[in-house]
Amino acid sequence: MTSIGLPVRAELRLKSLLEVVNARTSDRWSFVEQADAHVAICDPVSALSSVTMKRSAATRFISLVEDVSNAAAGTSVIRDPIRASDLIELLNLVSSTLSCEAPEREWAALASATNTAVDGRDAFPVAVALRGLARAKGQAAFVLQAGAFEMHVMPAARTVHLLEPVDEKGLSGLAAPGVPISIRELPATQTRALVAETRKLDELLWGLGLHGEKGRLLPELPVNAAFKLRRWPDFGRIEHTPDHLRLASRLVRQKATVLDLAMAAGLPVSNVNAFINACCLCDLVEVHPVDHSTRAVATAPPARYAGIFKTIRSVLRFGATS
Amino acid sequence: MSAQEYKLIFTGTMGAGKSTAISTISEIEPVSTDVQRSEAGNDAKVTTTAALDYGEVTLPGGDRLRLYGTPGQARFDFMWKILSEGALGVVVLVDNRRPDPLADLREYLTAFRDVVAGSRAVVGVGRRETHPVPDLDAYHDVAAELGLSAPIVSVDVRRRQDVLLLLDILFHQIEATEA
Repeated sequence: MTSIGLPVRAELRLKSLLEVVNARTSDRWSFVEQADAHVAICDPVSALSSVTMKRSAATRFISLVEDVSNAAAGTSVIRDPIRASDLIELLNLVSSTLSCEAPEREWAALASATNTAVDGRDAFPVAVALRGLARAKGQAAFVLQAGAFEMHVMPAARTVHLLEPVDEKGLSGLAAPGVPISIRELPATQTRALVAETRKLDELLWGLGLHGEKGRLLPELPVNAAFKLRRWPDFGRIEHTPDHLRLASRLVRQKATVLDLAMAAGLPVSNVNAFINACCLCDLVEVHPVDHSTRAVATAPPARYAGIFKTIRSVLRFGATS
Repeated sequence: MSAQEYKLIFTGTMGAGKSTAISTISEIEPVSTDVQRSEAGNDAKVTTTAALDYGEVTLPGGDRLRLYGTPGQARFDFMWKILSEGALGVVVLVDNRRPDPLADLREYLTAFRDVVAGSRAVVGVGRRETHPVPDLDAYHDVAAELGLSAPIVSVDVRRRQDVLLLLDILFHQIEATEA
């Protein structure tokens, strides 16, 4: 962590507080004097802050302000004076977004690489392989063996035949890292043999993203990036919660980082990661460099229609199962 | 304070499910103005809405949510704009069995262009289980050609949860726009 443009007394307070909270954060943090840091607490009106923000795309900038409306565009916010609990929460949020080291691996061509064994040591091996197969052209079908689990993937029909039913727990198992996988082309005569369940390909990909490792993004997604949705997911066909609708409504309008989105929506980073992963597996995500000129995601709740929508949702029992 | 009235519009082609969607959530027996169809269709529907459908939901404090279904035939399109004035939003229903559902979408997005551009519309595509083509990407492409963007999801409006999903998406979209 570092600070930029803060008065000396504010920087000293920050250093002291960091010493105090370090025992309670998920990672250990140290204060460095140079601008090259994971997190920079900055004075938004400082010219030094503005210049540094333009130069350091890899650093997470946090505006230290008394009034949230004074935050610099494109930064997250922490209130002045800093409370220990706020600093702990902020650092833990940043930790969770930094936990993924993205290996450069191109899976898009996987569909054409039949009879391939993959050791699956990377994160999300099944999900990424399945998505690669989903992009295959033509009528070819594939067997995807994931541990003891076998599925027949029909890219042209956008369906997957499962040889045994898979529930939410099963999805989590399939989405775990380290699942050994192999892929081979499926002869046409063997399709649909012993099928227990047929699922839509996008529905399965969505579930693998949602129930996979929530602490990290897919290998192809850079941690320090802003994301935007190309379009709304087909919520009529995939499992969803009100939080997913809320995240989608924001991300189709405005790009945002995982951290900003989590803070704006009041959700754990892990939930946002899972949503972004699910959208990415369904080819709905655009990746953008963090642009400090863009407006930070709004945190204030909308006032004009919030009341009537809340009432209608309550009266009509949105979310009830019957 | 006097009771408030709020309005939601359901629009779409004949047989797209406007009457069904309204009846799914209305607390009163929907008022329909169905008559024998004079136009040939490729479905089993023998009546269609000549004027409009109406349903309502009572809200706390005497407020009311009024649900209006527009007549499906394009020759009644003069009513679409009248009905949509002052509405919270518009639900566009499209039937994927129709000969050219993308043209249907184009017609309704154009007719409700201002509403869609103001992020007050949601599109529900029905019968995709039996008629998977065109897919939703094709629908989004049509919207993009018109310079518009809207949530488009697969629905079965016979299911109450699907109708509520459309409204929930509409509300979230409006909330995000207003934020």
